[in-house]
Amino acid sequence: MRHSLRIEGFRYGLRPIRTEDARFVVELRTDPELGAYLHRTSGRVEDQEAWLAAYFERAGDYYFIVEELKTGEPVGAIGLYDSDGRQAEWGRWLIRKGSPAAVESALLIYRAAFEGLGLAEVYCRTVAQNAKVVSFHDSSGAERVATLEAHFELDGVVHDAVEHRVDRSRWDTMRPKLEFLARRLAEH
Amino acid sequence: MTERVDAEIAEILSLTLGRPVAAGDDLKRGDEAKWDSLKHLEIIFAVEGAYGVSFSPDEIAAVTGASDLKAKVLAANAA
Repeated sequence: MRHSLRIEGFRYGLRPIRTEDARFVVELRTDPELGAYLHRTSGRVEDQEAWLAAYFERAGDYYFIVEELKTGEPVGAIGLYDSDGRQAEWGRWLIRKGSPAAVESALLIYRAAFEGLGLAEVYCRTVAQNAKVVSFHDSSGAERVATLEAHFELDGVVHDAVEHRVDRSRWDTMRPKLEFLARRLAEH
Repeated sequence: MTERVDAEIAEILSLTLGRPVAAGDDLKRGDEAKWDSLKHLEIIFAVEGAYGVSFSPDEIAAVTGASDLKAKVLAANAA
């Protein structure tokens, strides 16, 4: 949906995605390594623009570009979606290779959820084979609550999903560690 | 010096990743599922704290394993 939520961190910020970001998103999603666990993307900027046009009309969906605050350079994308006003899923998380923005972008999406949107809970469903991202959620302190069998179908292959959840209470315990690491990184 | 750095980096990796890492084991980030992006920063900052070195953002992203950490420490000590 069209939204105006912006969140600024130490080195990176989240801003609403725009139609002109379509090319950047296609670059991210068609990278074989980054896109390994995503639904296949056509690779055509026009198709991404059409997807964004539909997204702009979809309620409860907040899609962001992760940008470096100092330069405005986009380094990734991330989203909160399927929001019912109490909880939402976060995902569409892609960070350009070679950028250390992953940790701060996760911090920022949690801030967007709890501070910006006032949600009570967020969850994330990760392809079970995507070990690095599953590990990230474990390391961050998110609660691993379930394995959802055959939750994703990517290129005709069925995958289980690992679901992590974070409510406000858990966020209070997770936040200091993420903030510490993001702040330290920004000092470099 | 080299052996001491090997041992200390192995200790940092063991503590961060939560499993034993042998001194001199050239553990690769890509081969270790638990070496995620959050643990990566923890490892980098632990090495910085232990040796008084500083990784640039590009260097942080370029670290692919234990050997890169060791090379950074040894280069700083040689300078």
